[in-house]
Amino acid sequence: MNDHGTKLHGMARQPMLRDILLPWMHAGSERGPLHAALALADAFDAHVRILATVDVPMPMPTDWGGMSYDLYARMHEDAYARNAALVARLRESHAREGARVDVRSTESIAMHPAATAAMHARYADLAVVPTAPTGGAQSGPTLSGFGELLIHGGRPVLAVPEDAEFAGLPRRALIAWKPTAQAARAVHDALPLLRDADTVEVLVIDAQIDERSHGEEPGADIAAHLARHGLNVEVTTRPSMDFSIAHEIVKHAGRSGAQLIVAGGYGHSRMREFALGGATREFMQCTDVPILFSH
Amino acid sequence: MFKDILVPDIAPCCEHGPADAAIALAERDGGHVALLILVDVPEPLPGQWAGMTADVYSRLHQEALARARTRAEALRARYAQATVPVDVRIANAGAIYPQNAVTLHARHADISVLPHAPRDRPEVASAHDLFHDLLLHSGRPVLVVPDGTTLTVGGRAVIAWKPTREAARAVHDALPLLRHADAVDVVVVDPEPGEKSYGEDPGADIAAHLARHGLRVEVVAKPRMNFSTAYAVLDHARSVGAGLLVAGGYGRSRFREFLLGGATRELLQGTHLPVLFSH
Repeated sequence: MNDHGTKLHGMARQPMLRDILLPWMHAGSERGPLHAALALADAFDAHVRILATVDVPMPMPTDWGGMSYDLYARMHEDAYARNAALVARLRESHAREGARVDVRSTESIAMHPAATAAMHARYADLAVVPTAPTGGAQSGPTLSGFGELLIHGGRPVLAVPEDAEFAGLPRRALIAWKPTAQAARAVHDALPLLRDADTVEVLVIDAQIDERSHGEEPGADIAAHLARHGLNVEVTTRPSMDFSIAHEIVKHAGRSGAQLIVAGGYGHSRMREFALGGATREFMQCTDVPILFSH
Repeated sequence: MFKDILVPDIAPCCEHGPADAAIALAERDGGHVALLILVDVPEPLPGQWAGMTADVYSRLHQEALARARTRAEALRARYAQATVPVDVRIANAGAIYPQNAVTLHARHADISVLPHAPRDRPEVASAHDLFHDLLLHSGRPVLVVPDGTTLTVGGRAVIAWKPTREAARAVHDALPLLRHADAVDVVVVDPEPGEKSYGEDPGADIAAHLARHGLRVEVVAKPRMNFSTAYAVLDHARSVGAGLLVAGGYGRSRFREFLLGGATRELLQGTHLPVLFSH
């Protein structure tokens, strides 16, 4: 067999990112996500779509009566004008990236903008959003937009802190492993991002040693599987002590110098509300490292 | 890439179809196949008259384990000369439901492969439960290989596209396989254009995305007519001689009851070709 030919063929089969979605969430902290999306686009020769959604308020009747047509029409006009200004600004600032970045303007009439983003995520490989630090100006809406994308998008979501330096694919990554469907999905969705990692650390917090969960040697099975994917894997088990699991994982990432955390994202939708899992919400609020979540 | 492929051995159902399909998948990516045999021991539940004695229970367990070992030997002999490494494992499920053991193993693999047998076979119930469990709870795709079919990795593939999270997952989970296809048809059945569903040009967005992944894609809109969506998709797959179908798998679990979505159930029961489902 021709070694060179085999190698090239092998490379062509590497998992790739081709389309990255950046829904503009008006959180005021898009700097981190934008840098990360562009760095990933460079690494994979991928395409970034910035989604600017016209958020038209619903004409809801209140206790005091319906909204006047006039007022509603003005809100409509304002929303369109704001969106046109945003689109123009984004297009101008990304003009030199050419076809690499496109800004798509879309309406979300009678639909939450995050639901529109979830729709667009379905034909992308990854969505990138800001994290939601506690006390941040837009922390509530950012969390709920993230929840919608995570649970209804069907694609992984990369949450990036505002001031995170995402220089490229991580050299060191941390997988927060639990033997759940969500974590299994996150690990597999993360494979393209782990391409250049020298070390991938599988971290198991509060391992339960039995055959229903972590098995006899916690983390060993997933480590063996990832090694078959060509990754250099280390397994660490730790107790959560008195801290929450999310804090413990973020702290561990800080200590070990991980540039990316990979974790299952938990939650469910109730009517129009999202109940994010406790650990997932805390991750979004406390991390200073980008986290890739899948549901 | 499919590096680890799990095939639960639900003997004697459908014999070797799923294992052969798994080997065909593994050959492409230098993968490994794990055949998982379950030690199915009845739960030691107290009966109306009294609990099961430890003696009886341990004898049942020993017998089941011996059966599993015999089966493992037979499978090891059969696949000793396979073109890829085939590992035969015994899952000693103990007091947990066998499906849960399989689901746990599936989370550590890239994909699971299951048989699908005609409805009149007694072992279909267990295959059906397992499909549901793996689809909803493994977080990994499930390839269903109908009895008597073989997986052709080249050739034409068909995607049953709907703008849902399940279909989006199925398409992305299937990429390692779709990359080997000569052509990929994105089938949309009676699509409603609009921002809230298929977009202005149904199928165009996902086709553009897949083209960026290097696939040769064509969008095919089909009418449902008097038939079901599943029928329209399978009919198209048959008419173009497709070797693989990719579809979102819909369903939810209520207590210990399983509800598969109507279209998913129909695809599963009516398919004449292997189907990759994700939830």
